[in-house]
Amino acid sequence: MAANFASKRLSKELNKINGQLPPGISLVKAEDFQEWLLDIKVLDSNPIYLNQTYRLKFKFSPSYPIEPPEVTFLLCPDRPIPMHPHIYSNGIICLDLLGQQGWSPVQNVESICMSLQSMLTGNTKNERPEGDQQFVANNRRRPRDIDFYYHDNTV
Amino acid sequence: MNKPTKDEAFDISDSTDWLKTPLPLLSSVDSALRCQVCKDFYTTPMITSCAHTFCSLCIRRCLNNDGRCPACRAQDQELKLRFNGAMENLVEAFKRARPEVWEFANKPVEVVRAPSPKRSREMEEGEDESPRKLRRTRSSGRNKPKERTMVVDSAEDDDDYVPEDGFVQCPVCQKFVKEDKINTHLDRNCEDESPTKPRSKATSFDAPDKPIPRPERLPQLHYSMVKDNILRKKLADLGLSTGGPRQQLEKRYTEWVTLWNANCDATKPKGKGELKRELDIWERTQGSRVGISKQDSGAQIREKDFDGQAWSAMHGDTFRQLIANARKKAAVKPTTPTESGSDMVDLTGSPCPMKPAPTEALVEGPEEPFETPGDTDMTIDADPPPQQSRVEESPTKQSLQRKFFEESAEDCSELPPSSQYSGIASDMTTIRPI
Repeated sequence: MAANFASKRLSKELNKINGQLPPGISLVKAEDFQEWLLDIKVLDSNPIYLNQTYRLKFKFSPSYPIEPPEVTFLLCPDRPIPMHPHIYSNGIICLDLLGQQGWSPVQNVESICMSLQSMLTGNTKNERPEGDQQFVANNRRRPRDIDFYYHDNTV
Repeated sequence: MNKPTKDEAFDISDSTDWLKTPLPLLSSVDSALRCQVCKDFYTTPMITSCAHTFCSLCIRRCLNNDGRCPACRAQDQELKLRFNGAMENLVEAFKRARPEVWEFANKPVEVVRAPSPKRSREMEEGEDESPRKLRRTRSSGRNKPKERTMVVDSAEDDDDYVPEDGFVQCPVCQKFVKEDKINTHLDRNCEDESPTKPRSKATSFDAPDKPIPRPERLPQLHYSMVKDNILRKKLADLGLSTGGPRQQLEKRYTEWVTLWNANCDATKPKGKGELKRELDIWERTQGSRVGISKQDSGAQIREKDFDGQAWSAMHGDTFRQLIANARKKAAVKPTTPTESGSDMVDLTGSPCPMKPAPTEALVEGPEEPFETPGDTDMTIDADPPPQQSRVEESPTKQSLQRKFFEESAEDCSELPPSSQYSGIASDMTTIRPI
């Protein structure tokens, strides 16, 4: 039972995702229970994200859903990294939902996608976080080992 | 692993399954009976103080991890969890009924519409037939199959109905009791079993005939208060493996207590052997990861915004220095009765091939930027040259270090706090690849 704790839950989620997904979210690849790719779109007429599709990479640990998955935007030829004051240009997302503190096992892949959609929808600033260049140049760590400081509650 | 568990693991039924059937409303019934953490039907459901229900094992794991309810993030403790027996009854009943309903729901539509004697009670409920309608059908045709009459057995307000199969109505409580049992029924003040009762008893939990000795719950340990050997002893007392680094021992103990306590909540507790097997599986899939995955004092460190790896990289030299010094002292003591004198002689550079340890000190000395207090005292008394070499060496290293600190200080002022460690991170040699 314990062996399949994460994969069992993920297989249920996959089942559900294969059946139906909210508008603007689509599954790209889910061949195992370690890494999934999904595409998201911003559906309203926000000029920053108009007609763009963004690719998300989910990485799951064996302790999922007790531990959060690692979620980043993935840069592909036709999939840019969205401009957002909390998204670094290497795709790392600063969102409390994805950190140890803000994560709850009740969340799932679908709810994360929807949260990110709404995070983009609500944004009006066409900019990167402060110190983006330096962070991107120096960071060698995985997102879950970074100590984000969640200060901005407006987005 | 034994087969039933394996099969269970591959059963990936979901509440959304119902949406494609003619009974889409059952989807919400199904999902209400599932744990939000594992998305499976509740196993030993426990209710939190914020009135959310989860599987015992799921909620215990969550609370161990961050002490908050997964649904509403309210703080809670394992001690405050209470067993939700009504939910377990409901889940067990639904699990039993599900395959039958499922089969029924997936039959071709014509069969669903036409009432057939094959139908079971659950299906009638699913189709939303009112009891009144049922009763009418029954009274109009007594020759209906038995399953039908069973449905209305419990309808006590049905005065005109007299069952033919040897039941008589009790004059006191109006219940139908088998004719040959009516006397014992009256003798027991009508507390006898009604015809419907045995069925419900089969699924009931507080049935008195259950003398299973309840295992005692184990307390979680406060690991900062427990020394290694005591922890090892505790594990050994429980019959668990005592191998591995400290972090792994802690994780193993925590997982065991979680499994054990969840098992204590269960209606039918499993044997210790089975729990051990589960722990074994956990160890193979997650436990071995403990050491590699992350610094496990994570929560503690994170709170103080403290970067453990950077710290050890920064002070690694000092630690190595201390170890070297300790070794040196240990080697010096037995050989020389008058330590300080001989040390002074050695450090001035006079040849002394007899003792290996001081020579080692000579070789190592200039390489290391830090000195222990004892060593510096001695060298001050002694000749200047060795100290001189140290003075030459240390400024470069120190300035490097200072530069490093200044850089990271700049980082702090310039960057958002989220990236204040990026400078340190780039300086580390022991970083894992992304």
